[in-house]
Amino acid sequence: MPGPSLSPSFQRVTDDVLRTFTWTRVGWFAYWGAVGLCGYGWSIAAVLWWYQMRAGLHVTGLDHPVMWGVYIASFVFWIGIAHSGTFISAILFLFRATWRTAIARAAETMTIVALMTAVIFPVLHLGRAWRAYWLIPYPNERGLWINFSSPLIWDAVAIATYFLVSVLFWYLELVPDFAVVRDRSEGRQRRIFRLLALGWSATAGEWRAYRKAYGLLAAVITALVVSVHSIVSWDFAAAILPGWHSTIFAPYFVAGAILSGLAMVLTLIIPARALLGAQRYITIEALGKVAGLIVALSLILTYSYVMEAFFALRGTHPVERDSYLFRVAGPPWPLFWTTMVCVSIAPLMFLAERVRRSLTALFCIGLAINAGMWIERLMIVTTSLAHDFDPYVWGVYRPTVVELAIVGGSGCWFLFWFLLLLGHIPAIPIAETKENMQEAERA
Amino acid sequence: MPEGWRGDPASAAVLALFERRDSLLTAVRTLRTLDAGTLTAFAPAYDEELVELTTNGSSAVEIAALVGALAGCLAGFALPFWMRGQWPTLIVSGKPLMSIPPLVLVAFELMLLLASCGIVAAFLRRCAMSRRRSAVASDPAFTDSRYGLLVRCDPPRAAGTIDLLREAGALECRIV
Repeated sequence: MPGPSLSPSFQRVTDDVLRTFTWTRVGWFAYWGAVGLCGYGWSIAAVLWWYQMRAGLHVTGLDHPVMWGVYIASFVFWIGIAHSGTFISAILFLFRATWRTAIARAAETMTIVALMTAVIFPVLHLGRAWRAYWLIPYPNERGLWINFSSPLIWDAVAIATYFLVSVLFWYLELVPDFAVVRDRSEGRQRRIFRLLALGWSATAGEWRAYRKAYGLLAAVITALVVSVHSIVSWDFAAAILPGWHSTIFAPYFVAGAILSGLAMVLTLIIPARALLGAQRYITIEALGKVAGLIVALSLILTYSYVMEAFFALRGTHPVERDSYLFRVAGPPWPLFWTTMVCVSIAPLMFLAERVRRSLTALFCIGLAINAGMWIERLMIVTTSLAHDFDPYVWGVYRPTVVELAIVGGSGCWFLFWFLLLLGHIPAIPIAETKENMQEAERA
Repeated sequence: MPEGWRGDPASAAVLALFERRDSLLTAVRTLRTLDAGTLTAFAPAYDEELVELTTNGSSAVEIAALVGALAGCLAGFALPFWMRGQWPTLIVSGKPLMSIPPLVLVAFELMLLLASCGIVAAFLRRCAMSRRRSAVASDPAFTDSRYGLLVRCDPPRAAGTIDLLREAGALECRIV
């Protein structure tokens, strides 16, 4: 006996998702107001960057011995944020976690925008930003090539690869959805989406190629998730500095990256679902599952913190021990203890189901974890440099208003592009939602 | 001949729209049994059973991924080696000129990058091929909520094919 037809449900999914393209008056003002505000925020940061380039890096707090500050910490932070989109889209896809579908699009968009934000920071940190192209292996008049043994080149290669593959992955999943919009729109919108849909006609042959390509790209990008943040961690671990020179850094950074990214997913998706009216698809259950993953990753990270303390305090290296005690009880102690509270303690609140089902709690704890992770990156970057082997060169790093304003502006840059992109593409994966319904019906 | 028809004038194409997935699968199985012609199925979402029934198993996507990965890995080692060959006596930071471990990272990333490019290129090629095959007939409803089946058959068999499709539960049949 055949079951009920899925056509009306499919149509409803299409209608619901396409409704996010049409704004109410209040929604339109809220959306464009937020985009405008973020644009204003990063414009101010751009002016300050211009000032920094004109005046030189002395307008920042970077000075001997701490030559890496909030810019490098923010770079590591944003690369970390970029990891959750891939984690949700690729790794959870390979594990057939269907609850991820509704949040996958927003998370993937976040990945791309976070990478766009992260790459700004090494250029900011350069001071002479116009020489950033020296990282690219291009034939120049001196015939002198870049040094492939340098971790900075590993970064450039890894991040460029991650960005390009993330864009391909994001776009590939959008092709069938662009075709849906193409077939339901008119005029200029139809012309644009016809180009973006690449002539998709939903044949079984196309679906076969699509699924093979998507599955393989998911496998490739899973390897990238692990490799990219490991490479970023080796920027530090390859140095001989106490607090950096550790074999634990790669898994420690990868776990931290996914944790911060998942927290950012909560921070962004909770307001976005209200703005887009997507409560039916982005359910509290799905957000609760993200919270569950956050608890697991927070415990992994806490284990790393404990191991770090164990190696430093029970090891035989006095400088390592001294450097660790400097972090815990020296002038940067607020950084250390804020990190512990935000990254190791706050996520444990998600163990209570009541907290996992409260949107306010999910949003606030997500925000606290993000703050904690940024502070953790700042602590790692600056405290080891400030407390080196030689007491003669010890110092303290204090970021200036210019640096902090530019970092704040980078947040506006991130939100600006995130809102612009998510507002102009199907915010919920249409085809995949239908596939899940089909699978549920068959089951 | 209908406008836009670019197929073989000696054959007809029947396009059927289905509301139900199981009706489409029944139609495909029946037409397959009768060897009624070439079948192209349409679906609003990926459907493993339908894909297995109506398409063959070979795909260029895996081969493209493998070729891209090998090319990327090779390039990742060859590029730095060639570049270092340009300055054979320039030692940076006391590190050996041809040190393998740091190059593994570069090769690994390029391997993944070119493998991804290969995957997407193969996918685009497959889409272009599919587009050419189904150019004569498609329907906006296929991306939205309906299933579809395009049957290419000899013109004398078109009427019989339409009857079979209707019997299987097609909402609408048209010769395209």
